[in-house]
Amino acid sequence: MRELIRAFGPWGPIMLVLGVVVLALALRVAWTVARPTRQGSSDLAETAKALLFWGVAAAVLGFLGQCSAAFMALSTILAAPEISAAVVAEGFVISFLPALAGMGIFAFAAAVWGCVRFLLGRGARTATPVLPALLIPLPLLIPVALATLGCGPDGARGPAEIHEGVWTLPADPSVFLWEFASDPGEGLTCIVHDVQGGLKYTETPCASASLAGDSLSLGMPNGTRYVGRVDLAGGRVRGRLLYPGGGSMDAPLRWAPREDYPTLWPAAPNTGPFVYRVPADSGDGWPVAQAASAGVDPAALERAVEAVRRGEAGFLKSLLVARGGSLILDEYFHGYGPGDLSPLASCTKSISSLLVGLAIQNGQIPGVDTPLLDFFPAERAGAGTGWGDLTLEHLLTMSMALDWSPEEAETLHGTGPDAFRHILSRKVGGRPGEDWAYVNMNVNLLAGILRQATGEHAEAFAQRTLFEPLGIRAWSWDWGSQDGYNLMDGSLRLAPRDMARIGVMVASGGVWKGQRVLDEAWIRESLRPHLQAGPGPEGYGYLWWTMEVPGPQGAPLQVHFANGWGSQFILIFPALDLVVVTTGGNQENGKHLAIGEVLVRELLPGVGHRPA
Amino acid sequence: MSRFAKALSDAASRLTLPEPVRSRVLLEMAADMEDLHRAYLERGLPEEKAREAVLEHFDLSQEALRELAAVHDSPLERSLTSLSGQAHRPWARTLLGLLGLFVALGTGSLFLEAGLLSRASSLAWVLLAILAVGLAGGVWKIRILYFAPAAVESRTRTGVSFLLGLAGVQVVLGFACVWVELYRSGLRIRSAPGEALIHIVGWMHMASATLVVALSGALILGFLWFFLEGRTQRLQAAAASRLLEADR
Repeated sequence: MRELIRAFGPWGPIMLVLGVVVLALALRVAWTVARPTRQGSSDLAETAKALLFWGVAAAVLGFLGQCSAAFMALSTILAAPEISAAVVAEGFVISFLPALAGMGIFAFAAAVWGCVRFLLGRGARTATPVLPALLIPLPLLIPVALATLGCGPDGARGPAEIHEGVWTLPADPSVFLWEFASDPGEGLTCIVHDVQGGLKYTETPCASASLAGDSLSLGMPNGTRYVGRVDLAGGRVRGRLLYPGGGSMDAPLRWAPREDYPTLWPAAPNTGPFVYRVPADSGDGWPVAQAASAGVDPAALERAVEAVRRGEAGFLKSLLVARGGSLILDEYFHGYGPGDLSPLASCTKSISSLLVGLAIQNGQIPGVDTPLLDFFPAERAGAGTGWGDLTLEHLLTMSMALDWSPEEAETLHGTGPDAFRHILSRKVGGRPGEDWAYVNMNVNLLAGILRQATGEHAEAFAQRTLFEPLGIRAWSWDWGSQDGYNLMDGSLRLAPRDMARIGVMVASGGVWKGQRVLDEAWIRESLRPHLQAGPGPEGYGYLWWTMEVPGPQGAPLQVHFANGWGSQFILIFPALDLVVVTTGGNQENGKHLAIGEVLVRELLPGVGHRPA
Repeated sequence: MSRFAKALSDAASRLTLPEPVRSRVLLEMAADMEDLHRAYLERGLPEEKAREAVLEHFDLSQEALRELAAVHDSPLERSLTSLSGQAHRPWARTLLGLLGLFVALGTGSLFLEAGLLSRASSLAWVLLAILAVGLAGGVWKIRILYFAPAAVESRTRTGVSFLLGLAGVQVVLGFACVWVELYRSGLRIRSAPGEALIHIVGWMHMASATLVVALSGALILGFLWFFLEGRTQRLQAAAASRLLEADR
């Protein structure tokens, strides 16, 4: 109830006063009808008119209150660093309260006025029990109205400590779940889970967290702060989000037991230790095999899955392992399953590289030394300085050396003719073919290149030349598309098993189930590290990464991989004939590479080993 | 006291109109009679002859009064009379005053602190101009009704309903602005579909700001109308009462 009053803001007292006036007038009407007065019907009619007048006043003022509250809410929303439909909806739900109250008062007043008109019309002004009988139960509707507005009685059950259970902030389509932990060494920590449609989407650890008495203060990595007062007994936190831009928004949290959100954790509560099982045969002709028969120790797979379940790989959605062309592990976490399409993020780049190889194989692109401007005849005139020297190979190896700022290189995305013109307008500021820089935007030129070379947009070309030969039937590549041009730097969504098909095909030198899909020379050339990728140990091929990790006997082991932010990986270990696929939601928690450590420590030592 | 008090009193007793319309009709009849009387005097008729000529000229038969009542008892008049009647009681006037103050202060703070006008549609300036015209008219009427009411007794009401009309125009224009801006947002979204959410949120922001300007302006003019209409009715009732005094 207190939340409701707070949500009304300054319009609450106005609505309360008008509600009391209307109720008093309604009681007067009821009294007049029940007990005949000297003034007769004119008094009744006048009171009913007054009732309607104040009802209309409540409706009009309620609507003005809604407009004012919506204006304030939207001012805050527009000042926030990100605008999500969920936050907009939350602001609107709150701003609608004055209008709903005003309309409720008006409806009540109009109902009584209508009754009076009816009675006066029938000449049954006096001694009729009908109107009082109608009016008396009306106040009973107030609890129903409050329940409709989501305001139950105060005093809901709560936890003994803040770190028990989770704290929920509903904001359709997401429910944000705030999970606290109290560690003697680290003090209070907090992770915010974004759950959509019952499945966890991302998790974001707070940068700072403190609880002094009942005052809670949290800092988010993006600079947003949360301050509130904890009511453990009531199971609530009354708090606000304070945005770095200066806006703020009410964000009350409610407590819920962990059992209400079983997909928040890698495995359902009370699940026993993982026991290796052969993947289910999906009947599509792709063989599944026992790990042992594929030369992999099942205990190694069990240890790897257990490590994921313990959270050592952060928030991982799936872990798949294939060896010798057969699938030997197909495990999912957090309620995800084999049918869920997963956003590939920058793994899309590596698959785009395969599409270029297919176009070259088909003779639609002459080769990687083709000048880039040949693919953009209409935009050639507006090209920046140095574009005449740039080739397709420079694009595929991230060595175009355009003069993007570091921020632009990381954050700019976009496809379609306008985006192509924007990219071509940049001038070459370094040494093409030598200066490596990871720029998302440049990769989107591949959408224009494939369209110009093949006459098809990337998605249609991929369907015909890659997805259908591999038996991939479900995908999504429409997010961020513009005029039919796909976003090539990261918007493809595939099922993890289909990512594994691509990995197995690449690991097999372009062959899938005995059929050649892609030229082996192209595969070799695209996986070969052409340049050092920054200061780290990784090399970069044609939009594929390469590095060395400790192998089963500790010797360096080469791995080629498609690398999508948040732990989307297609890992190919040529020496072991091993493909590992992972999907995850580690975008915000700093655990993007955590699965790599798990694989090196738990899985790789068991590959090649055959138990007695 | 009017020189036609007896005739007016006779007419008043036969007029089947509720107050304040009855007082208003009597005042208009008295003013017309005085105008005619003045015209006869200017033509050279002596005072008594002129008075008799006026009474002869004015048809005060029951049928004529019924027609007069019908003219002044239109549904619009009845609605306005009923509406203004809600502010007759002191508690209602106090509550209306408080509501008006709340609206003025509440939206005023939005204007000053939250940059309401800069977020509203550019057409909101038209709404403000209408509000300014209404307020200026209101001040003019306040000057007449409170400081020189006797000068224009029969026409005290002239111009007061204009405020209500302006309030209506404010509301209609406010909603028109919202739809015009929605159309313009649609054009912007068409050219950049990827930014649909930001344009829709921007439109909602602009729409809420524009409606706050329109509705608060309309309410302020409406509150002003209530007070001026109430004052007018009280003045007219007093003047009508004075007209008939001689006959009592």
